[in-house]
Amino acid sequence: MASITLKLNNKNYTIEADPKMPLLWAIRDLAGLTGTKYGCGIAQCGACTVHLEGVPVRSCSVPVSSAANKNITTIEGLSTDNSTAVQRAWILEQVPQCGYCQSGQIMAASALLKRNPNPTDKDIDAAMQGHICRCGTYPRIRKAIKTAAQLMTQK
Amino acid sequence: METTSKNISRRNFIKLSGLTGTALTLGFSFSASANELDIWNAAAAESSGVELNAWISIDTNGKVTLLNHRSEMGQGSFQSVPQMIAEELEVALDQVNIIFAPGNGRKYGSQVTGGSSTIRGSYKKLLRLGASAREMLIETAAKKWGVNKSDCYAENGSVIHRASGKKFHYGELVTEAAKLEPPKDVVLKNPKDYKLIRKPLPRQDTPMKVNGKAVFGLDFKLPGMLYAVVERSPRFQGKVIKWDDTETKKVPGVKHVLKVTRDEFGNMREGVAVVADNTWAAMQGRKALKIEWDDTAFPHHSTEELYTKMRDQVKGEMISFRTMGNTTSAFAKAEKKVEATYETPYESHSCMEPLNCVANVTDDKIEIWGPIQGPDWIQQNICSHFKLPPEKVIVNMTFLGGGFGRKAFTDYPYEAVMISKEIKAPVQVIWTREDDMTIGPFRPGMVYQCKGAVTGNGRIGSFETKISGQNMDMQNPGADKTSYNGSDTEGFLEGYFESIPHYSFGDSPLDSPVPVMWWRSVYSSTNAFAFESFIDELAAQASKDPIDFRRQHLGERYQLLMNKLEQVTGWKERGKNTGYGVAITECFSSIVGEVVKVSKTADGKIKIDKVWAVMDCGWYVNPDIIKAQVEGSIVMALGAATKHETTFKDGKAVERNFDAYKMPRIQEIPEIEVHIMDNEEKAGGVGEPGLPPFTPALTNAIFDLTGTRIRRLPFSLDKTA
Amino acid sequence: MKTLFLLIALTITLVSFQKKPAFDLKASMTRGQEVYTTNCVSCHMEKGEGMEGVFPPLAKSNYLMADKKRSIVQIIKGVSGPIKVNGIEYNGEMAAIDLSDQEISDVLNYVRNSFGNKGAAVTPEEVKAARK
Repeated sequence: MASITLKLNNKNYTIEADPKMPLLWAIRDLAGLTGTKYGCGIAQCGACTVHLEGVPVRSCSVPVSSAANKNITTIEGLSTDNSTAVQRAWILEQVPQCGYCQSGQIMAASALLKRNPNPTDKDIDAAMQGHICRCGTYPRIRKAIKTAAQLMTQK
Repeated sequence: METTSKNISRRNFIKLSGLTGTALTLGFSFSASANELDIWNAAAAESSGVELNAWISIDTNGKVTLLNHRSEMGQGSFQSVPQMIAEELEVALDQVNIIFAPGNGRKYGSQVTGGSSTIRGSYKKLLRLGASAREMLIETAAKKWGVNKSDCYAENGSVIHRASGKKFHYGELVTEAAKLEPPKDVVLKNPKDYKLIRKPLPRQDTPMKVNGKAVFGLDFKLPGMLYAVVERSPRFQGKVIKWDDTETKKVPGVKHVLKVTRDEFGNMREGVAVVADNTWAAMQGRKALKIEWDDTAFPHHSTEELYTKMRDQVKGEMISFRTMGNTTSAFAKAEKKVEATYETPYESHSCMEPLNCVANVTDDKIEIWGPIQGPDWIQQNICSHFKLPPEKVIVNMTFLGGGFGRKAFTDYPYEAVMISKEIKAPVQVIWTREDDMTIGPFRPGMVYQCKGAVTGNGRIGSFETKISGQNMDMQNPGADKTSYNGSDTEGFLEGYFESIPHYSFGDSPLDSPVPVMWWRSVYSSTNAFAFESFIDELAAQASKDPIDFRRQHLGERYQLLMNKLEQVTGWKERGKNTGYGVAITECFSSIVGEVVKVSKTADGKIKIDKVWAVMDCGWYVNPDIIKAQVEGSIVMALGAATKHETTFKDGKAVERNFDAYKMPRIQEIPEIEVHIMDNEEKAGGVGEPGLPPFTPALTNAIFDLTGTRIRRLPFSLDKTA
Repeated sequence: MKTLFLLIALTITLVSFQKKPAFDLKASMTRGQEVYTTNCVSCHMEKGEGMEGVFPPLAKSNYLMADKKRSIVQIIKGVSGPIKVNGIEYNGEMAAIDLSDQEISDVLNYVRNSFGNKGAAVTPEEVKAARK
């Protein structure tokens, strides 16, 4: 066990954890932020995606010790009032059905648009391919990413 | 709209809805002993001792609180139920506050979210409920003004006197309206006047699903709650002989190790639970367990054995389900005939939210929270196991991260209750993805042997299907294994029964320890592939256009759907070098036709260019939710047709996670266009009926392009052309 | 230029003299890129750069290129415990990824011949052999 400081959404959380505990469980069970979801535990579904120093990573596959003192953003840290372009687009296009995978989808889409404000279909495929949605909201995810890109230019 | 996914007890609902005389609360009575009125004023019901199924309540501020008896697993009941109430009640949607009803079969009738039944099962009652409240409010206002009721109307949460423009807000009327008897007959609105129904209004649960605030089962926490994972027998009926938890107990955070059972169709399945103060510690502790299983009492089936048996069984005697005429002699005499065998795989539900459940057993009650499709079934199950009256077992629904039938099954809360009782603390049982994918129950795979004849004028002369597969109703101990499977014809168009002179459907149930259960659209999800592929084979044998061939057998409602399909797809003008396939299926009282267009890529693979769907679900509420459900159904069908299957080896499920059980991903999804028929037919289901026609439409399209028939699922689009 | 010429000559020779067609590395890499994008990219990143101290890089990775059999086994069985890649220690865990023999051969051919790497082809037969 080790004392580890997590910088989650610009707030410090000091937790006692096995250094090998995946960041996902530290965020959910120890820091108590449940927007980040468990889906597969082996980096194959994308539900647990958070930003580590701005880069989207699978929190199920990051040992908590290697995320210590680094800037982590979870879905709760995007905005609480749904004001980011991606969240607005997700509402406009009515993307979620069950909604469980959407935290991860939104984190991936946000990171994509940050580095590529005008993604092509191919760029969207590459960035979103690691994210599974069992409800099949994929057509709307694609549409919403394009809508978000437009919203960003209007700002 | 203010929403809460925190689940509440009946007492809290009453408090919240203000069921104290200062509010107008109307509900149903499902009790057969109650008199003929099935809509009751709460105050009157209480004084006559009628158990009321409280559904809506309007308080003195005019705020409407609605108790949703069905779970929200993505299908949109969270939106469509308030949309119906608000329409007849004449309030804006943001005046409606919705809360989930806790499980109580006696109060709410069946609460199982299954069979695409939320709307089709209760829409008339919901509309009447809204309309009754509206009429009582209008009556109260008219009395106060001393005017005729017919001179007043309701709009946007107020009653207005037409001539003078005088106005009462609902909140000002509820106290007196609550004293009235609900009207015996209310006139429902003409669909032409709908302001909310049939409009693509945005879902009220979307905002909380884009910022992490929606509480799913896995997100629910109680103070002092511990986390448990369970090592269950990897073979379906294995028993624990002994276990060694020496290493487990060394894992920091591990608190308890105990044997648990799980009620699977009345058979108690065994496992060993590891309870810890966080999920990961429990998982690590479980990895360190050494368990010896006794799995000698049942066969260890492999996929190969299962299908060999089914292929044998379709050649033998059938339990006859539905027959007309004599298919054997009709087939023997026919000049043009077709024979084909179709095979569909076992499938995992693989909801994105793995199974989980929180239980808190205290001295005086058991309370459960979780992603639950069937709260009333779970309540019954827990009551009977723990010998408690229903009021001591409270089952609360959170949001569901997918359900698809799996979460209607009562097994998983039982384990949580058992552990909480034993350790005397609240506990959450978490299934890992591997547990979720390998323990089952699964959608059963099936083998179909079809024989059909085409008459001289190119119609279907006879249609025979022999089915073998596991019957979901034959798993309980002592189940009658000689009765027919009443679901053998699910997915088949009702219209065919009226026009095919000779038909027969029979089945020969497969016996296996593999547990099986409903999977989105249930038997139709597999039957439709056989039926609609075979209709296409018969059409080809008759040298007829696949839509024209179907037209000869079907009545007006189907004709209109086919007209629409032809129109939106440009069916008659379809070009060469592409393949078009059609399939039409019917289940849960809805008819769906789908057309798939395919082409060949430069490197010889099949590419799905586009999918069109025409949904006829009769009366409907929210077209955008319907479109979303059909899109999602098509994607789920695409996965089962071309990407994944569950196989078995030596009595264990082989595919354990999404690396091996491959899901469709964004780059594989074709354009999908959904149309909805406008008519006044009875409301049909929406969440499932879009799934069955996709696969046969796809394989029929591939036949159109390549001349190759695909008769076994799943197949690879890369290796077909 | 000379090497390229030699390579082309060699390819032609192989194609014309062997009855059994040569292993089509290019086709394997194309399929492998798809596997990589679905199953690997989320940790090892688009250009195989990984993330320092968290996810080991594949690009110009001394560790990856040192032993192709080890790579096969690592996909089949997973990796845990400390490893040193390009001088930096990594102590995470990679889950075993359940892929077919061909998928493993394809994805290894992709990563072993992309991001500045150049390595011998991995055949499905080698993967099959490594499973024993």
